[in-house]
Amino acid sequence: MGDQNGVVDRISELPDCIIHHIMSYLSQEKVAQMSVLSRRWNYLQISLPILVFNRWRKETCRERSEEFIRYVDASILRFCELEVPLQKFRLCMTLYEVEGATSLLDKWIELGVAREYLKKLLLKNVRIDDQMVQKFIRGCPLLEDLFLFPIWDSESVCVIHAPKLKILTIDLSSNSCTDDIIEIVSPGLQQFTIVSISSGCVIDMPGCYDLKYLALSEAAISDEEFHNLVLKFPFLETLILYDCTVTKIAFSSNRLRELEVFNCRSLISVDIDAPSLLTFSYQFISRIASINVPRTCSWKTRFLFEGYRDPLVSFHSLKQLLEVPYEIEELRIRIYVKVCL
Amino acid sequence: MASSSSSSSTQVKKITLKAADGKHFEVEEPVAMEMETVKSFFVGNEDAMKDMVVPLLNVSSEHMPAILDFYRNHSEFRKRTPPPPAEEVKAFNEAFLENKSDEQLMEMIMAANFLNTKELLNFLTEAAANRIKNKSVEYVRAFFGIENDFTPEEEARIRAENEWAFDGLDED
Repeated sequence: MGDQNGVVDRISELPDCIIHHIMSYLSQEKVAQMSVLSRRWNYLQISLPILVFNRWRKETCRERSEEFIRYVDASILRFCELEVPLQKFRLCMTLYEVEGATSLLDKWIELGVAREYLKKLLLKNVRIDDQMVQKFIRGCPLLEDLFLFPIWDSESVCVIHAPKLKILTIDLSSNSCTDDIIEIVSPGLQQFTIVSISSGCVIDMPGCYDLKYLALSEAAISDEEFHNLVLKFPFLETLILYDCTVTKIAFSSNRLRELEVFNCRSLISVDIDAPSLLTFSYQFISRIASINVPRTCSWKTRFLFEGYRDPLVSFHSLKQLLEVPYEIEELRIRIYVKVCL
Repeated sequence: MASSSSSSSTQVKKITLKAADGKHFEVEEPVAMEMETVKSFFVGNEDAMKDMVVPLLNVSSEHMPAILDFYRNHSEFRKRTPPPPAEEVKAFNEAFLENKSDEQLMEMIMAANFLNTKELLNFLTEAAANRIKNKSVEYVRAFFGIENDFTPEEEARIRAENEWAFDGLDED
């Protein structure tokens, strides 16, 4: 560093976007440290369009937490003043130990989220209500991909009205209440995944005619509710059922290309009239359902053989599976046995 | 990419690239077209394609062989079915960076930026980030050749604002 004339400021030749590119691979700590390098780097650190704050695993003292919160607050405010597009905003932290933190959080989310060019939004473990969801969505008219993992305090009615939305994922597994009503009004919606639906939950999707992909996971859903839902989507191409309580799957569709049924223990029969179906993926535990799908599609099967349950049932199911008159492209068998010494 | 060369002869068409210091490199067309800068040079200019020399103002001839080698290997990795095992790609990438000084890495980042190839740029910028990942402020300044233009008071103030970020740092 002593050689004043000989030192070439290599990085000064590099444009800001390249330095930001390098910063994007570094941890938040490292990026924060870079603010002391020089005036130029201080500005580059402030203007990095990737705001990632992660402080939820680290066991740190209260003092450090408060310091970190001040840092997050200052960083977000400084960045917002620059009025440059934000590429990524991620905030993961536990706030309960600091006073006044929840109101700060609201402010940050609003500053980070209420950006008209935002395309993807993920809200995980955030205590939100319907009004907040509405507010976020209104602030983001270009929103295309929304992931909600909410904690709702009380029975909740949630209306998602987003004209540009293409992908929607709702995970209700942190929810204690069972009577959620979710209304989705997004005519452009292509993909919808919902996790953990309790039996009192109502999903209404008026006008989502264009849906091509539907995944239901951990869904306590009756046969009637299931069929009413599926029949609303004439253009459905992919249907995934994971750990659902349906007993019968029976419908016809001209567009369906992929059907996946995993671990639906109550399932008795699958009867699908879908001439375009290409693959049928089926995972079952011990007992095979009666299955009628188009002959032309190929099967991918996984069989969890729980030998300790009722080995005879399992053997019988396996035998039945091997006798099916379909082309089985893939067969995986996993065997669980209890070892008694 | 449609190949206009296959009809004329069995020989792969070559494109001549001229490095910053004037040295010429004959490069197979598909490899040359990995570089957006070269590609855009020919857009709407197909007639003159054959003998035109493409000047690459920001790329020194020192780095050309390595850069071309990267394109050749990575385009082969992309085309291969089944895709190559991750270890093979990793081994190539590690060998690529071996014996490259920090200075050379910076020059190659500049070159990749000029050539406008995302894959190479992502790879090199990540490599640069890995080299400074756990290093001290002084090390990073030396690495990038940054001159500290803060007064000691200013630096102390900014450091205090970011105190949480300096926990558990190797002073190296």
